[in-house]
Amino acid sequence: MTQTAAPKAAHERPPFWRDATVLKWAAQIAVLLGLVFVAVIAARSAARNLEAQGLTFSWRFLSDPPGIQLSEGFATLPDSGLEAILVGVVNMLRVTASGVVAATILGVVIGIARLSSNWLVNKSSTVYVETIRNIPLLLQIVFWAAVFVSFPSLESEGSGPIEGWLYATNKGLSIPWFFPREAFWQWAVFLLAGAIAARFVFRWRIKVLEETGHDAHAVGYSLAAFLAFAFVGWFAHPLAGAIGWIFGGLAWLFGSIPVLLMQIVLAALAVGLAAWWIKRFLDSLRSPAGLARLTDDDIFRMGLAGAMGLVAAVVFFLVPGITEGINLGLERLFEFWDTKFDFLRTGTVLEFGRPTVETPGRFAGFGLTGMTMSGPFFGVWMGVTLYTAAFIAEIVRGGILAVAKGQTEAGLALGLKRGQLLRMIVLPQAFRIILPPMGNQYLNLAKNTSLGIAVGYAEVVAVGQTLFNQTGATIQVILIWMGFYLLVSLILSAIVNWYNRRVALVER
Amino acid sequence: MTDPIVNEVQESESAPEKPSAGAIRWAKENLFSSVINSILSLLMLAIIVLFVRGLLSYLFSEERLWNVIPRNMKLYWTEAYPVAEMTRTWVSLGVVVVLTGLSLAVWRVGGRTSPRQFGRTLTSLGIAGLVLAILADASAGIRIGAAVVGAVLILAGQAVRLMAGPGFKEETIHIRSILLGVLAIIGGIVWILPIESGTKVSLSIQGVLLVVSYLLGGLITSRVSGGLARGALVGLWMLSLPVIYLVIQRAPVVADVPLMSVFLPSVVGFIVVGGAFLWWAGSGKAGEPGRLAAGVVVLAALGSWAVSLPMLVRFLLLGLATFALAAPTFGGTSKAQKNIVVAWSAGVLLTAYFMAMMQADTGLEGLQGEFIGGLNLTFLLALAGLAISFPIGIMLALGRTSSMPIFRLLSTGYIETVRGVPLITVLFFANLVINRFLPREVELDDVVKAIVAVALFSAAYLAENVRGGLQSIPKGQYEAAKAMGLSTVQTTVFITLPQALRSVIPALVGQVISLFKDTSLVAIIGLADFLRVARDIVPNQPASLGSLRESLLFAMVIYWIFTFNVSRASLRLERKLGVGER
Repeated sequence: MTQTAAPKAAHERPPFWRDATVLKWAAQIAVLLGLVFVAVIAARSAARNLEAQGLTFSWRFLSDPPGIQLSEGFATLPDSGLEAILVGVVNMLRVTASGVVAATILGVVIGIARLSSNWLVNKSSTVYVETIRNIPLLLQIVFWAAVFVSFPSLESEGSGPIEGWLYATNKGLSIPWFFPREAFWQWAVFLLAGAIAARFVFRWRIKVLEETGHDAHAVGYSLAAFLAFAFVGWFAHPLAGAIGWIFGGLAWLFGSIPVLLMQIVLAALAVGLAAWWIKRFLDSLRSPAGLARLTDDDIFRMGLAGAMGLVAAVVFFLVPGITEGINLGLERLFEFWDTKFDFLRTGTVLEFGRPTVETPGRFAGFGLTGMTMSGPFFGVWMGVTLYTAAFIAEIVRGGILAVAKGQTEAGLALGLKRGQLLRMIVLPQAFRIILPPMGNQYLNLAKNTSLGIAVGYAEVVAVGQTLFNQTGATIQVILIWMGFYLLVSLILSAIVNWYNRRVALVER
Repeated sequence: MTDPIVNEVQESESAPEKPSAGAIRWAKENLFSSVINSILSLLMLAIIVLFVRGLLSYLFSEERLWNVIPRNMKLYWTEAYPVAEMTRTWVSLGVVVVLTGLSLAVWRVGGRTSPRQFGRTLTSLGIAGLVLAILADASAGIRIGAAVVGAVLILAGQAVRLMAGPGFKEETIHIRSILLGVLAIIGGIVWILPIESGTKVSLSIQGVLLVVSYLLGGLITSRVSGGLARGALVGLWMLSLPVIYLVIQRAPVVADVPLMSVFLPSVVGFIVVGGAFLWWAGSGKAGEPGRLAAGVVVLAALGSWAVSLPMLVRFLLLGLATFALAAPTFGGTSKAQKNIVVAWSAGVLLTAYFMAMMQADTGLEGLQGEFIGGLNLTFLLALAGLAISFPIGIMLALGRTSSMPIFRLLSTGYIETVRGVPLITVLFFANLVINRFLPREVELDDVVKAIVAVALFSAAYLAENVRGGLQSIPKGQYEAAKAMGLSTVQTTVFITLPQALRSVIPALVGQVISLFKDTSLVAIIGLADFLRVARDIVPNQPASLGSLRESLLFAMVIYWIFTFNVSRASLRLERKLGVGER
C-alpha cells in the first residue's frame, strides 16, 4: 500500500475521496443502487415477457376454483386456490410432525447406542448412520415409495397381518385410531388448562423437594393434575363452549371495524415496533457511565429501522387492500373457531375407529375406519424419519461426549447406576448442547418434506406445481412457497432460541 | 438439506488385542459383560440375523432382475450421449484417471499396513462370505460359491497372520500393493460380466492408465520439488473440469466462432495493454492515480454491459477490473509485479479459449435435448456447482462479518432467505421463472440453470461454514495484522481467511457431500441425472420392466461409494492437519 507522505494532525480529516468512512458508504450505496437497478430491469423484462405470453400478474387464482384434484388431504377437490394450498400445508405439517416424533425417538436411541459398550449394538448403529446419511434423501424416499407399491394387494387373502386391526397393503397402512368429533375442541380447552395446571403443580413440588430434600414425586403429581383436568373436562366440556363467545366477539370486531381505524392501528403498530426496537438498541449501548458515542453504523441502523417502520405505515395507507385482507382473514379465522364452540353444547369428544374393508380392494372412506397411511405419505415419512434420525444420532452422540468426564466420574463416585447416571447427570447436561443443532435438524426435516413432490405426495410444493400448471401463476406460487417455508423457519428458530435462552447456563 | 458432519471422534479399535487366544474372553468383555448386556446382545443378534437374512434373500432371489444393470451401464453413465461418440466419454474418464493416479503418487496417499491388520480384513471378508452362504435364500450355486470364496479368504487371512508371526506388528505391507490386487480382481470381474467387449477393453485401458500414471507420478516426485508438483496438479484438476465438459464431451465446431475478427484482437489487446497497465498498477508506485485508473476500469467494465459489445470483451473487462483492484494488494516487489502480469496473461488466454469453446456449436449429432446426462451430469452439477458456490460463499461470509451495514444486511438477508427455503423451490425458480426476468434474447440452457440454482443454494450454506471459521479467529490476529500495517484486504486474504478455511475443513467437506447428494433433486425438474436415469429411464424400458427397486438399489450403492469415501478422506485430512487439536 502506498504510504502517506506527512503525518497529519489528529483533528485534520483527510480529503473526502480518501476518507475511509465516506468511501465505505459510497461503495455500499453504489452496490445497493446497482442491485436496485438490476431489480428494476428484471421486473420490467418480466412484465414485458408476461405480456408477450398474454399472462397477467394477479392473485386471482387464489380465490378462483382451481379445477384440480389432490391425492389426499382434508379437501381433495378444493374450492379455491387458497384452499388447495392450505390442504398442501396441512399435509406437509402432518408428515413433518409425525416425522419429527419418530426421528427424535429413533435418533436418540441410535445416538446412545453408538456409545454403547456392547460391541454388536455399537457397530450396528454405526453402520446405520454411515449408510443412511451417505445416500441422497430423494433416492431413499423414492425407494420407500417403490417398496410400498410391492406390498400385497388389499384384495388378496390375508392381506392384513391382523384382520380388522392392522393392514399393510399397497392401498395403505391402516391402524385403529381415535378421531376427534364435534365436541373435541371444547374438551381440548380442558386439556390446555390441565397442561398449565400441571406446570404449576410441577414447580410447586420441585420447590417442596428443594426445601425438604425428600422426593416430592413432581412428575406423578403434575401428571395427576393433568389427568384430573382431562377427566373432568370429558364430562364438563359443554361449559367450555363459552370460549366461543370470545371468538364470536372477535369475529364481529374484525368484521365491523372500519378499514380506516384498522389502518391507523396497523400503522401505529409498525411505527411503535420500530420505536421499541430503536429504544432497545439504545439501551443496549448505554453503559453505567451514560450513552456511548454512536458510530455511523449505529445511526444508520437506527435510521433503517425507523425508515422501515415508516414505510410500512405509509404502505398500509396507500394500499387499503392489505388492511381489508387482514380484516377479512381475521374475521374468517375467528368465525371458523366460533363454530367449534357452543355454550352447553354436548356431543362426542373422541370416537374409536378400526380399519375396515368396504368393498374388495378399497378401505371404507376416511374418517371412522381407522387411520390409513397412503403410499406417498409412507415414502416421505420413512425417508425423512430414517434420514433425520441418522443426523440426530450424531448430534446426540456428540452432545453426550461433550459432557465433561468429571461429571460421569462424580456421578459414579456418588454410587449412581449407569442408567441413573445417564438419566440424571449426563442427558440433562447434554440436552443444552444438543438442542440448537436438533432444532436445525427439525427445520431440515420440514424442508425435506418438499421432496414429496417426487412421489406424488400432495404437500405444499406438489400442490403449488399442480396449481401453476393449471393457472400459469408460476411466479406467485413460487413466492407463496418461499414465504411459507421462511415462515416455518422463522417460527421454528424463534422457538429454539426461546428454549435455548431458558435452558442456558447462567454464567457469572 | 445441509448436514454438517458432527465432529467425528476417532473410532477406538474395539477388536481384541489377541483374538486367537481370547476370542471367548473378548466376547465376554464386549458382548456378555452383564445380564442386561447379554440380553441386548442376543436381541441385537436376532435382529441382525433376521435383517441380513431378509436382505440377502431379497438380493439373491431368482426374481431380481440384476442383469438390467450391466446391460444399461451406458444409460446410467451418460444417458443420451451418442453411441458413436462414446470414445469422448472414455477419454474424459481417462483424464480423471490419469490425474488421480498422478495425485495418488504425488501426495503419497497410502502408506503401509501391518500383516495382522491385512489378515484380519481378509478374515472378516471371508466371514461375510460364509454368512452369505448360510443365511441367503439364494440358489445353491451362489451359496456354494460364496462358501468357497469365504473359506479361501479366511484361510488366506489366517495364513498371512501366521506368516507374520505372533506379536509381529510392524507395518510392512504397502497399501498400494493391496490396491493393485483389488484392481486386478475388479479387472477380472469386468471380463466376466455380461457387457459389451468394447466396454471391457476400455475399462481395462483405464486400469492400465491408472497404474502407469501412478508410476509416472512417482517418477515426477523424485525429480521435482513436491510443492511444484502439487501446485501443478491442483491447476490441472481445476482445468480438467471445463476441458472435459466444454471441449472433450461437447465436441465444439470452432469454424463458426469469429476467431479472427473478435477473439484474436481482444486477446492480444488485453494481454498487451492490460498487462502494461497491471505492471504499472502493481509496481507499488502508482499511488493515487493507480486507484483512480482502477476506478475507471471498474466503471468501464460495468458500463460495457449497457452497450453492445462481444461477451468476451465484457468478461475480460470485468477480469481486468478485478486484477486492477487487487494489484496494489498483491504487488509491490518486482517479482510480484511479474507474477501479476503472468497470471493476467494466462487468465486472458484461458477465458478466451473456453469462451470460444462455449460459443461454438456442438458437433454431436443425433441428440434430443441435452448432450449430457446420467452420472456424468450428476458430477458436472456437483463440481461446477462447487466451483461457482465457493467464491460466492466466501464473499457472502465476508459480507456477513463485515463492518459495513448494507453489505452485512444484504449478505445476511440472502443467506437466511436461501437457508430458509428448500432447494426444490430454488430449482423451480431457476427452471421456470428465471427466463422471465432476463431479456428475451437471452435463453439459458436447462443444465446451466440447474448449475446456477445449485451453486446459489450451496453458497449460502458454505457462507455460514466459512463465517464460523472467521469468527473463531482470535482478535489478536486482526490486531497484529493491523500493527504490521496491512490493509483490510491484505489482512483478509493473507491472515484471516486462510486460517478460517483451514479450521472449517470438516464442515466444508460435509457441505460438499450435501451438494453432491442434493444434485439428485434436478431429477424432479426433469433433468436426466443419475437418479432420474435409475428411476424413470432404465426401469421403463420394455426389456427392463419391473426392475425399479434393483435400479434404485444400484443407484444407492453408487452414491454411497462416493459420499462415504469423501467423508473418510476428509477425516484423514482433518487428522493430518490436526484441526481441533491446537
